[in-house]
Amino acid sequence: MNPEIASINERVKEESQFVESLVSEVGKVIVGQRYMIERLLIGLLSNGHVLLEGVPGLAKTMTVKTLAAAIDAKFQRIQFTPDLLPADLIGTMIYNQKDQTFVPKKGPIFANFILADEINRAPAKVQSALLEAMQEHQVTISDHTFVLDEPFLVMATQNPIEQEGTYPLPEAQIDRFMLKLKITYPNKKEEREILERMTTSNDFHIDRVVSPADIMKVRRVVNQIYMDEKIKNYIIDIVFASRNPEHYKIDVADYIQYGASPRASIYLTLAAKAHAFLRHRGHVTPDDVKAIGMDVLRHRIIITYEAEAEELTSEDIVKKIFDEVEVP
Amino acid sequence: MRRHRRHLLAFMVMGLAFASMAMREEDNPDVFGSLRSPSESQTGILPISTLAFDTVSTQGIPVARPSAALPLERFEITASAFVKQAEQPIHLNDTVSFIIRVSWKGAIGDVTVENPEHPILTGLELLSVQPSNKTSPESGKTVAEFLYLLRPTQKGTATVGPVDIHYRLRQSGEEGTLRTTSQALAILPVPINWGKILLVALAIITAVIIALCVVASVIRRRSRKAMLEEEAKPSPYERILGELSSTRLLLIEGELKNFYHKIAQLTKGFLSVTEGKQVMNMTSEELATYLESRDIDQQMRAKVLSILSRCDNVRYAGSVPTEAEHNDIMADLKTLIDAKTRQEKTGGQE
Repeated sequence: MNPEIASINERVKEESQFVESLVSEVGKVIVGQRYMIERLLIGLLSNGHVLLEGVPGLAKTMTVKTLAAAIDAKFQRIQFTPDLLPADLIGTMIYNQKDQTFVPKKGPIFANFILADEINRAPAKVQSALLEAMQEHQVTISDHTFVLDEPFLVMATQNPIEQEGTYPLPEAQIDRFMLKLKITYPNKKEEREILERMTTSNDFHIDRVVSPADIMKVRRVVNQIYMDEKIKNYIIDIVFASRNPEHYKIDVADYIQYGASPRASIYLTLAAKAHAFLRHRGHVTPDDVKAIGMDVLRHRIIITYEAEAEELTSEDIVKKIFDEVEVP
Repeated sequence: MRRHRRHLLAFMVMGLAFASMAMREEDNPDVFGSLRSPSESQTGILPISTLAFDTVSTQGIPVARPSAALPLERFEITASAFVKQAEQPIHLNDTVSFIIRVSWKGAIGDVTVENPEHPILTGLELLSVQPSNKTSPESGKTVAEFLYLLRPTQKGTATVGPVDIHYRLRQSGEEGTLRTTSQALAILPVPINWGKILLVALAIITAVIIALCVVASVIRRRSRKAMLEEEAKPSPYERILGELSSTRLLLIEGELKNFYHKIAQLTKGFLSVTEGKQVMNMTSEELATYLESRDIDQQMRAKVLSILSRCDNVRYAGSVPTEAEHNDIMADLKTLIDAKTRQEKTGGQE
């Protein structure tokens, strides 16, 4: 093996030891939801934010809270409501009578893990303030600019039902989320275990598995993971197929209004590397791209009215693209 | 009473004489210069049968009688207008020859006939006009002819308007004008040439039959060839083995990644013989999951996944295997194919 790649592989194996411990620590509280836990870790390791979509009661908040505890990171949950103001999120200047000066009062966004619950219930200006902080990793209160602590991970939730009185996120803002996860119901066995666990005790002690500093160190390792030229071309083909499916002989051109943006190529690359890290590999395989592809692309492909009329979703389109584009 | 009877007799004789003159005029319509005025001439549709007379169909009528009666009597100037093909029905695409003929007794130079104005045409168009002078040796008459080539433009009734012909006597300088009556022609639509149609249809049918015979012969020859080829065609496993042996060329050319890519493709191709083409676009992990769900021999499954894993290490992880490892992977795939071929030949009895 190429000595450089071999060294990365060795390093990844060494650094990724904590993954299983972390997952099992979260598993003390959360039953199942391996898919959600892994995707949250991918977002955390590749510096991307996550949009969670699922009906209420699927342990979205609990998972994020438990994960934050296992990493010993500061966690904040913000319930987005129609009367929320940007100042409620980022903070404001308050008057200090003693010093007769205005001093900044930091808002709940100053944390490592932010759970923006029901993001589509707050007006656009609040959404915009959050998304700006997500992009810049800093907020400005009056004349003062504050850099947010790293790691900074926003997990926003959206309820797919009860759309009345909501402010749906514009496509440009949805694009800023690296992953969009669809959380589904647990299976029968898991549901039974949830029942047993949650009705006997509410006191779950979570041990710290890694520190935020460790996460920052691991991020650098993830960035070094080797990606072959063929895999890079495969990612480009996937993204281009979403824009010009006819060039790849995929019969979905009539169903796509807008294909994936270049941000999709970047996030697909980063997420595939993080996925390889979770599998203790120092190199990316097409499996990593395929495994993470749906979560990276499902919110980036805008479908046409024809697709809606035929009850096709962006997920059907993404699946078709992955089925048709040749694996290297 | 007798006197009255004599007057009545004389009146009857005169009447008979007039009637005989009138009959003579009708019997010999060639003769012009009658005292009938142009308004007395009848204009109407002339049926084809009427036009069939190759003689005079329309009489010329003097419009302005010469000052002296002598020229007409002396030169017997007459004019006629007729359609040449009057015996045949006229169709839309035919060319019609309309002729105005002026004749007189005497030499060519005795009478000068001016070119007449073009007739007013309805349902016809003028193609060309050809004037000519000639002397008829039989009757000793001189004839000036004006040939108008016409073409019908619509079916139904077409008319050729009256034409004024001006002439002048050379010696006396006297002038006169004759006018032809208008003519009506029945224009029929373009006839259907059944003979030609039948001939063309026959030719097409013959051509089609010949073409079908040729195609049938080619198909028969090709299917025979295809059958022979099918018989000679190697089985999918034999084909994969053939490709495997030529894969080594990639190693000689230094195409290490392409060599392992080809090995991976051949392995998937091997699986696709039984599992279908869907496996060709599966990743190694997807294939592992898929094979798990299928009733496939454990050893074979392990070998397939081992080959794919080694290929992936070279293709995606930059691994550089040794010469021995190249040989091993080729041998493993060959063993896999040979075992499957043997199993198929023995019907799974092995």
